[in-house]
Amino acid sequence: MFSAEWVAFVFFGVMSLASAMGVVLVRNAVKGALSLIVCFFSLAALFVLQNAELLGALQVLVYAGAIMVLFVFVIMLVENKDEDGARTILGSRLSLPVKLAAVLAIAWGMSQAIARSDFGAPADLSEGFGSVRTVGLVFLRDFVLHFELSSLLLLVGIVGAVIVSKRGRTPSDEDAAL
Amino acid sequence: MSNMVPVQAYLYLSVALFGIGALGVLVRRNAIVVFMCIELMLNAANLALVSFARHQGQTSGQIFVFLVMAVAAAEVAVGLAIMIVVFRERKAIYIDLLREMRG
Repeated sequence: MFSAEWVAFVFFGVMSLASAMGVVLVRNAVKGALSLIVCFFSLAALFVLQNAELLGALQVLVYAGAIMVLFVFVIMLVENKDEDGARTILGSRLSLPVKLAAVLAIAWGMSQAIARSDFGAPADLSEGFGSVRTVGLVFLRDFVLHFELSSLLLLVGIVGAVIVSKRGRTPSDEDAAL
Repeated sequence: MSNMVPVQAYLYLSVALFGIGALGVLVRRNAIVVFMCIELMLNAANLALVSFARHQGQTSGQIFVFLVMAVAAAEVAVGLAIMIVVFRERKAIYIDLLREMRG
């Protein structure tokens, strides 16, 4: 009755939703980061389910691999000593129910937009859609300027990260490092 | 009923993930958790882009996802560096302790 695609969609969809809830609800930031890694893995599976094999692989390598390792490192480095006693919820002028209502209103609006749109029938996919070869050809032929700009952005990001993290150091820290 | 998962199902999932991320950004006090929720929102948008690329049969949607990933990687590198500097100054990274930039 239900195809394998539906089963996989429901399985990974529920897994991504549950782990995303984990990021918001779990007190401990390290556990939240691990939950986010699960979420990124299930999103990678959903990408592969939609014929985006290259993006699924990149999602695992870049997000679940590189970015989350950076997050976990910084969480361990920046560990708040009073984690257990401290409040996890931000106190602000807007109360929690107001924020919840605002988010639900936005989600309801977007759902209405989806429900009322006519998307038409899905297009027939060309041979090798989403493979490394197809995406690479389109990327380096039609979007080569975007490709170069993204590499420039990453370079600026690296240099910026080094400069920013060095600025806060006092001279005595530099001596200690030497 | 067709056996294929329609694009709407993926879009509803994307909306739900975006909402959870937005709630986390509004509610949590730890700046790193807020940052992780922003990543979650970016990924929800990526899921919508991939679904549209699949639905339209266009590869350009997937290129856009790649660019979002590059921007997110650069953003994380700089953002976490800022957090380390803030932690060195304040010994904590709760966002309600950082009120200098309030408008």
